[in-house]
Amino acid sequence: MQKTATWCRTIVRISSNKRLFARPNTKTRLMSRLTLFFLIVALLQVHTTARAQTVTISGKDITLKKVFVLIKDQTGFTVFTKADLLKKAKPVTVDVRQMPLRALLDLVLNDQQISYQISNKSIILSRAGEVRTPAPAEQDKQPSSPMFMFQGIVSGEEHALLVGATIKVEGTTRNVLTTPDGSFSVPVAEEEVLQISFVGYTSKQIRITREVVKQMETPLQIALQRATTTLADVTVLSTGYQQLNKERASGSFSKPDMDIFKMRTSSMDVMSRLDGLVAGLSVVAGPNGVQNNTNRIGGGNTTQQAIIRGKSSITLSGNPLYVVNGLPVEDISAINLDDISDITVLKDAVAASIWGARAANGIIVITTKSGKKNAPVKVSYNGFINFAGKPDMDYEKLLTSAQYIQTAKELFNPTQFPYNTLSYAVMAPHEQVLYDQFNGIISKQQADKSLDSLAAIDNKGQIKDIWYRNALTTNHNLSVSAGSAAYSIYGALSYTNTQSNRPGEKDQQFRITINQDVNINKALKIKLNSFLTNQIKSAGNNIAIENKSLPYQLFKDDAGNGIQQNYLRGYSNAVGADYAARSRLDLNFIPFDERRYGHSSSNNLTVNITGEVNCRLFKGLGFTGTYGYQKAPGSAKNYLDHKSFSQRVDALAFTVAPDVNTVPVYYLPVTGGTYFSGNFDQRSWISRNQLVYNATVRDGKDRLNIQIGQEAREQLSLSASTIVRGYDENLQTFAALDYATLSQGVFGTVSSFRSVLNELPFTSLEERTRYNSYFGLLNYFIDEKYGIDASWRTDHSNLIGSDKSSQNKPIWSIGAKWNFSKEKFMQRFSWLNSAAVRATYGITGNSPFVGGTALQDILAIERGQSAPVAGTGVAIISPANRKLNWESTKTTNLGIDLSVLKARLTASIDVYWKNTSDLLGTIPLNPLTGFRTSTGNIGNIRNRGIEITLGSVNVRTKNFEWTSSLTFSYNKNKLVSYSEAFAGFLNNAQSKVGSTYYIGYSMASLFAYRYAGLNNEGDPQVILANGNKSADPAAAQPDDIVYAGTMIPLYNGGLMNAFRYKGFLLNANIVYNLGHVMRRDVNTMYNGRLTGVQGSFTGNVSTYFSDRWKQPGDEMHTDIPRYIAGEFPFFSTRRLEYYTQADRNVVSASYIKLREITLSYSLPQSLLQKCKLDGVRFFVQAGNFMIWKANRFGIDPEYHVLGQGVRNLPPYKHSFSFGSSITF
Amino acid sequence: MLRILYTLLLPLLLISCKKDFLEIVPKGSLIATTVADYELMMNSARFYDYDNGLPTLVLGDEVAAEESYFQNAPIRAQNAFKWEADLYEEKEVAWETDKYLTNLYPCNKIINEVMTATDGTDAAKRLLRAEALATRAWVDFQLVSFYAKPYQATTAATDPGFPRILQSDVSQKTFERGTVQQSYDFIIDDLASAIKDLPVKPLVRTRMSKPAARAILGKVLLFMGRNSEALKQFDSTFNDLAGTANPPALYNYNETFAPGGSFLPIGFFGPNYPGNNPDDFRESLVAKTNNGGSYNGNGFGNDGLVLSPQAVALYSSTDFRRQFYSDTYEDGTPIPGGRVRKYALQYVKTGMQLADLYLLRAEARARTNDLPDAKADLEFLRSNRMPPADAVVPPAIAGNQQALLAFIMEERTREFAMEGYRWFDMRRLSVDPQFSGSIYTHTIYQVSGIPVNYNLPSGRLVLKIPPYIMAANPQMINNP
Repeated sequence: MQKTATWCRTIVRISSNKRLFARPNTKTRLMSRLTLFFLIVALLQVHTTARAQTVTISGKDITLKKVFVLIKDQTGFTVFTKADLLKKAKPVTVDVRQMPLRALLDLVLNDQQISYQISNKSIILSRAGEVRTPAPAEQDKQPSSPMFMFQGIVSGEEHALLVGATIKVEGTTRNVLTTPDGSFSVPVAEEEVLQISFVGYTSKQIRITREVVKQMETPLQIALQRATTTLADVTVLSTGYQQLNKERASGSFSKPDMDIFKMRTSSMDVMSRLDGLVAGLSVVAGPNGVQNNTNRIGGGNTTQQAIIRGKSSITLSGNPLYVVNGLPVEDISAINLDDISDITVLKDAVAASIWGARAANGIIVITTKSGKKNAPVKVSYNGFINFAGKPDMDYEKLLTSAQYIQTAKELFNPTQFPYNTLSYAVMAPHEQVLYDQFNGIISKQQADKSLDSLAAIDNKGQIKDIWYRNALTTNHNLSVSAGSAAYSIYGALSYTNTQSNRPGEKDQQFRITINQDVNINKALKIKLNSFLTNQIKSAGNNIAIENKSLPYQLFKDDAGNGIQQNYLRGYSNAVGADYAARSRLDLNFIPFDERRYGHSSSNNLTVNITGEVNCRLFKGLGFTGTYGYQKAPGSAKNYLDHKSFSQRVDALAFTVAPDVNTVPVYYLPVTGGTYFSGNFDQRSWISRNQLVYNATVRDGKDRLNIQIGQEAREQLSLSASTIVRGYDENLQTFAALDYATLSQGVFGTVSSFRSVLNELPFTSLEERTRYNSYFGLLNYFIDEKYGIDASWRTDHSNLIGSDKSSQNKPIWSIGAKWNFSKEKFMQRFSWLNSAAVRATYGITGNSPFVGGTALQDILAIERGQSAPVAGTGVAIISPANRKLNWESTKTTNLGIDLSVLKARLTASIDVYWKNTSDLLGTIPLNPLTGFRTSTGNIGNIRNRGIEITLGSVNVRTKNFEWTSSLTFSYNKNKLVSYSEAFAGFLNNAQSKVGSTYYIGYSMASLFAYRYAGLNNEGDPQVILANGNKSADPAAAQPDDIVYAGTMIPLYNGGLMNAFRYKGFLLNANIVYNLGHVMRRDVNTMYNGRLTGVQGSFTGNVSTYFSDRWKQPGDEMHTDIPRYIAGEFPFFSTRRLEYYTQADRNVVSASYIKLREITLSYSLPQSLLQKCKLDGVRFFVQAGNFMIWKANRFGIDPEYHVLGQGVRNLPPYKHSFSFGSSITF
Repeated sequence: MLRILYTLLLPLLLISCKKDFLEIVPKGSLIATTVADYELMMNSARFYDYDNGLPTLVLGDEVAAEESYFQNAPIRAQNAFKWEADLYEEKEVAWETDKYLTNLYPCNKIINEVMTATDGTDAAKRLLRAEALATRAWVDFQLVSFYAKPYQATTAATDPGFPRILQSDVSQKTFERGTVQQSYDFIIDDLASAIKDLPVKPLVRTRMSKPAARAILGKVLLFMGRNSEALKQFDSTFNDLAGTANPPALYNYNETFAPGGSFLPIGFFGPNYPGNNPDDFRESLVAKTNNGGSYNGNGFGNDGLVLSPQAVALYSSTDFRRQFYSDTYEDGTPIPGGRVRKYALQYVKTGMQLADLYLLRAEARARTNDLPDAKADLEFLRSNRMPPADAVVPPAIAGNQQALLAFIMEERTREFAMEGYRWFDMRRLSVDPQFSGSIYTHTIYQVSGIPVNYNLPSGRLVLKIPPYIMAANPQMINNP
């Protein structure tokens, strides 16, 4: 439809050469607060020359854009609007002369669904009904400069559009919320300041400068940063019981940088991903820290061990308590990492003690994502592939085949080890050759030829090809969220495929999450979180083989057939032939074929449902009920065919065949296989009821929060397993065994005098733990300056033996906070944004394990013999011990939080004193009582430490930003007292040197002999406390042992750097662990034959062996004791530990690693809009680079058994991954 | 308003939840309350299945050692063989002490608690209490035989005994050794009270019975030199046994070694006889089984031990007990010097064996000068171990009390060689005027063939209390 004006007849000429659109001012400018803007706009030039307020226009089907150009030319009034508003508007045909501006606007905008406002020299257009007009009272305060409509789109992390973000014009009452598409528009004038804020994000301020105005053609893209500890402004803390504003919390809380957490794709373990990100939380990396979860009964998973603020227990688990959506969970591995929206680490008493008797190790509180209210459907995809490859077989220096053969020749000693005494021993191929030569069976030439050919073989290639494959992890996650005013939902599907480095193994995890929020009415809200995890694993009958097999031993021949390794059976070929002939069983051992002869699988499901009811009762008073139920059924199956070597060995031991002519009697089946089937179940529920009272006191100056509640919890673990033999997988039949006979022994079998089968065909276990607790919380905050927090709790548990009276000791905490930057006298320090000091004190507990101790004598059925000859009996497994208590930890914490230079620099420092008393441990009893040890409360541990978290924005320009954050923790602990453990017979040198704790020293301590080098016989000598040297094995006394350090890092943390250039982001994250020690790996071969080990793929030795003492004088240049062929290690005339556990072999375990380096690229918004996407990001990552290590032996301490000095073979050298995340 | 009421009530309901919410006994565990519970306790395998080797295997004078194999024996076994004062390093647990002490706690618990147990008759309670008393006495007798001087009426009131442990209480800190007299009185009292309530026939042979307790009491009395009292107990024992169905019986080796006999075939570890089968209780009044073979990680073993030539000479050529010995080492190479190794011995029965009972009664009869009956007992046993024609005790011996007693001691060696019985005999004979003054020698046969001799030092018939016990009881005075 066209619009024709008849009021004026003058036709306006449109000047064709007029530059309608000006290029934006492209000169890069540093805008202190706006670094992440995409400025892809073309905008109208602003003329401020005053003109008449009448307009003359004439034209047919002219666009509104042209109309406003003319208006501006003629009147100086500039139009401000969203670009698409004008584009979508219908063209108009007008013919007016000297028409007043408002009349013209009414004319052209009529029927356009566009409304306008005129303010000073601005015309602000908006979609009809969209603008909140300023309140009448405010009209007066309108600025003098022209107002215009500022338009923007607010997005959060991963470019998710933020719905309901608040945009406020500072100093006015103008404020709007973002709409479901994240956009907003608000009238502003130059020099005004916009404040954009959203819960959980750092607020942002935008000053409306001339430049901003110039660029106001398209809506401004405003990205908010997730609030983190390093760049926190408004941070929400969750203790699992309540949400706190960090501004007002006195406790010691930390939050990791969730961006790094999310992108750390080298691991799918929550704790590993937190490594270095939280001050005070040290994750024990590598195999040393791999822990099975607390589920003793089975079906569990592994989690990396983490220690919060030092080790404060000797016997109990040092793991923190994991809390998901307010309720504790035992198995953290079931959770989908992509669902985690937030993690809070609770460290001191005020933060943690509400968790009572399980709080002493600190708490890790995880909150999962939920749908947003009033939000459109949003779909996100995240995925990555992580490539880790195969182990580095050269990590440890072992003898090559040539060196090995040479050494074997040197050591060959047929006098010490006569051939005929080795009928029941491993006789490796090279030894057979040497003995054959010695016994005159083959000539020297033949022997040399055979040995030379062995020396020329290297089996590493075959090991890598046959027994390993490249490890690969792929992960996909698809999530959907949406919400209306009354209901919101977040759902996710996730799939993880872990391809381990062992061929044939499968590990797949499927996860579903559905989180819903329902607002039933103003007073009643319900939240329902549920997730389901299914892990399905399977494997063949893999052989455990690493790098220490005999270096010349191949596994398959050129034709691809498996090679026999019968010598690993542990008896001679003659014996083997006799056994085989009598038993009529094939007794050849071909490792290559073994993989086919068995398989195992497991299937574990975890279902977790938690519901929360929030009900407002009276004003300020509410009820919160939290209820959770978790069920984790699992099953495991294992089948080992009779063709497998171990099954044939079993059968042989139960075969009676006195000679080759007798038909063998098989007491165990020799067909089918052994089939194990186990079922596990874990069920736990929790019910928590809280009354919450919130109030503002003194006219809103103070805030008060009081909670009281009760909590009941039960955890039940069940398992049952069966074993059948002679199982046919197809027919599903099995053999009926005479367990009564088998358990009492079969006499005169082929390989044994008497063979006993102590197999339990059926077992079942049940374990139940219950807690009942009461608690209360109080927070009072005065004037936004002074705060007090307090908590109180009692726990009762059925953990048998805890005397009810001793359980009644309440656990409590109290803390105070002073935001001194809010004081008047601080206002002149304008560079100081915020500053607060905190002080807390309180008690936390640590509870004993189930059945760990007893109020009465606990009896248990004696197991082991499936049919005890006298029938079932019970024995006392735990004698009555009535005086046991929770371990109780008193923590004092002082902290300071600072933010300066407009939050460019933030710092948070905590100092703590943590004293644990009533340590639970093993106490020696008077053996005449009938028990040597028992569990008791026996001592005190002290932990002290400092934690520092620093964040800084080093460079911030429009396109480039460099931010750093540093976490640092120092912890020193000491076993202050340990009442009786070291009395009496435990107190000797050997016990002390091997003990990992000792009064007056740190936990995980390492003790050593002072090494005096070798004597001229090649025997190790110790330096005694009186300064004398001795090689006498009985010489060393406890006082001669020296403390060499602790195996727990004294200093640890991380240094994170992020460099952002436009859409590119480079993250480099360093972790460091310093100040701890380890035993280095030393020679382990000191006596006996150089040969293989029965049934195991080991036998090669370290090259250190070559450097041993060989003749007098060698002691001048070597520390490694001599080799003695015929030494019996248990009563040797020397003590090798003087060397192997010498102070000289304790080295620093400090290291710094580049945990990962990640380059990611986010597509620019302009491109995204074309593709109708909200965000697209790609990344590549590489990890595990050693930057520095203190030891010079090439030891990676993460893959080292620190206390024993044993190298573990790292499963991979570096991991590489790439991935993407897409939101639409 | 209803809503408010409901939500307020809900927590109250939960708070007042059942009082027994926390009172649960874990599955697979038990707290003894009923008689049946104590019955299960008494049935514990810990009372009869001791998987340790006793030091007595090494201590008796009937053994010698072959250096080439003995050098691989545990160091404590080598110490014991050389009759050194200290067998153990400081931190070592002495299993022979520990396994027995572990028995005392449940015994005391049953003795002190079972009479108040529920769901059972008074008779059932008294029976369990009696079993526990007899078991405690047996254990105490072993301990006092390790760690106190042999009983001598003249010095028993002053010789240090072994602590009497009466409570099941892990918090007890101090114990007193008391005197040998107190220890023996205590053992006799326990047995006497037990005998009243014990059944003639045990539930299973691992459990105490009246005849078993009487036999043990007789042995204790005989070891104290109270011969006629001992004899009374032995006679009562045989009376009791005669009245029961399927009483313990001796294997007749003439049959079991005959073709098709139950001990055949002879395998790698010798015949299939009770020494090779821990569950064969045919000859046991009460069965208690220790390790009798090579060192298994607990205590001692017979590694490198052989029968001394003097002991070998005790066997006649037709004695089937000689079948338990091999004249080769484990690897098949011959043992030089005609020495033999007891290869058929995986388990030692240390409770009360029928053969022991016959020999003890023969001894008691001989000591009370009833020589013909002593001869009868001896010949009964011997006729089950060798052809009856060879079982006859030569008249010259049978008619002479001293010679007969010496013959009985030799028979004890023939029956129980390398099973540790000899050490207890050596102890009690040291205070017997007829045998005192014997010089005991241990010989290690070196690879070179040269024997090295060790003589038993005087006073070494008493073992030192192991250091791990002394460390917890510093107030105790140890044996020299």
